[in-house]
Amino acid sequence: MRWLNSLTICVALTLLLGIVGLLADLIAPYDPLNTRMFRGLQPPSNVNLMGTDQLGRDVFSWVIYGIRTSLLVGLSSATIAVAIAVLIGLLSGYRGGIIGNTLMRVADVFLSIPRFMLIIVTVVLLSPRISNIILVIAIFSWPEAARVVRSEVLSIKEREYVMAAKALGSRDLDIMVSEILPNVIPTILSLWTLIIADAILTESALGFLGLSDLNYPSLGVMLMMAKNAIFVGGWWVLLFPSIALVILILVFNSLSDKLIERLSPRLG
Amino acid sequence: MIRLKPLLEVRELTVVYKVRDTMKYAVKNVSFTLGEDEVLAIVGESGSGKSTIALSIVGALPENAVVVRGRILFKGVDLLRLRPSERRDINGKEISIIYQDPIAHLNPLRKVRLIFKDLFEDHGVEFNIQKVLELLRKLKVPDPQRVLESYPFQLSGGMAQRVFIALALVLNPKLLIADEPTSALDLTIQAQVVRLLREVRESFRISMIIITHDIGVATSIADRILVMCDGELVEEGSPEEVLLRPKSKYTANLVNSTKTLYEGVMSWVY
Repeated sequence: MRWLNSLTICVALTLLLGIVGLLADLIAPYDPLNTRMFRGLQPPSNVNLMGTDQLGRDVFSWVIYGIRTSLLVGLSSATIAVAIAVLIGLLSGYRGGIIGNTLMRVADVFLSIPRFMLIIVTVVLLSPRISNIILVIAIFSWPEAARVVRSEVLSIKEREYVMAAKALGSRDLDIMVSEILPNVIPTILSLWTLIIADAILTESALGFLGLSDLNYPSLGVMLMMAKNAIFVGGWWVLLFPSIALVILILVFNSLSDKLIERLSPRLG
Repeated sequence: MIRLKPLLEVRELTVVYKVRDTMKYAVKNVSFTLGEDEVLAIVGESGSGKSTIALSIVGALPENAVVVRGRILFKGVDLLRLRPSERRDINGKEISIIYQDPIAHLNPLRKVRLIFKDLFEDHGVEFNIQKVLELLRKLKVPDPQRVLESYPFQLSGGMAQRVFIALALVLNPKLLIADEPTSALDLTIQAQVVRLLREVRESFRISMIIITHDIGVATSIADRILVMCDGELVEEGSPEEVLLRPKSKYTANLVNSTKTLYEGVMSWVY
């Protein structure tokens, strides 16, 4: 993994994945949702680069669209989660007191119930539409991030330059926005990419359990097909979606690591 | 000495720190006045309460500190009874503070120009870059244009101190508090800062309170010296009085210890 140890490579891979996601319509040779019963479980060939599943769906097209779905869910839910986390973390870290403590107890409640269980139940209750999946993942991802942001804020607000800003008459809002927030951004970026990776995994897991939006091919759904396919020799149904998933998660996880290393002023 | 019109009047100030269930007195019943254009030094060892006085004046006491008694009158207004918003208006515009480690007191992620801009905006004053440049020039900052476009970490210690002093002075405050401006600095830099503070006092009409544990620094800048010990004021007088005719035993010891140290070093050098 030596070659992954550089921020530029991570960013390049992220961009590449992004392009694949954006241009899925052009890259994928077939409509991934198109089932052809007579061509079920075909091994990889010139016609179907990564073979087909039991229902005759093209695995390559599915993987390409699956990457798009993963990125869509990952980016949107992580962005929402981080936005909530920053707001709550800043407020409760800087202000403390009753508001701060109440917010953190709410986060505790979220953290104390097994997250994945909650996500499954909520998605079932709301019906597995893509917007619901994104929202539910976001709503159950912010507490951890809020905790991290809060602890950063708690330490930064004791720094000398925040004291100095106070002594020279800055308003609380200005201190939060221009003294503290810029110094939390490295952490926020790193959290964001980490939550993207986590959300991608959660989305696939939901797909594997059959909780996916049928208009948005999920890598998890193909893995669910693979569960049966491998017993009749269909290794390609398992292999290719898994590789795609591993790459997605690995790239975003390393991106998170590299970002915190590169951006953190303390390590600079 | 001429009695100057008081700008700041501290009356019977008593501050305690709550440490778990116990109360610790940091400042006990301290009263003093500061005239306009006067420079006052508060001298004392660590824990004598001198910094607590400075923090009470700028309203930046830690959360576990309580002012149990006393008043701090600034131009006749009691600073301890102001609402937070009124307090903020005074800080930076009427009363400013400088610290010994200026780089740590500047936000590392903002350019110096933005730090100045924030200060102007916080006080509802239109950002006047010419005024900043002029002030930096007056404080002998070489190439002020470039300094404004630098990040704090790109400044040398001396330069950062000048920038911070400019930040403290740019809105024409009446009172400048220097909290341990020379501690933890080596002697040459210390001399530079002392010289800088002297320059500031000569070129700006401003009152100053210098908090220091170094009686040498205090005597070389101040008009009047307060000596504190265990939260109490033990001595008040002009530098000559304090150095030559100390009234309290503590001050005498303090002056003597400095002398012995100085003589000891000198005999070792020569």
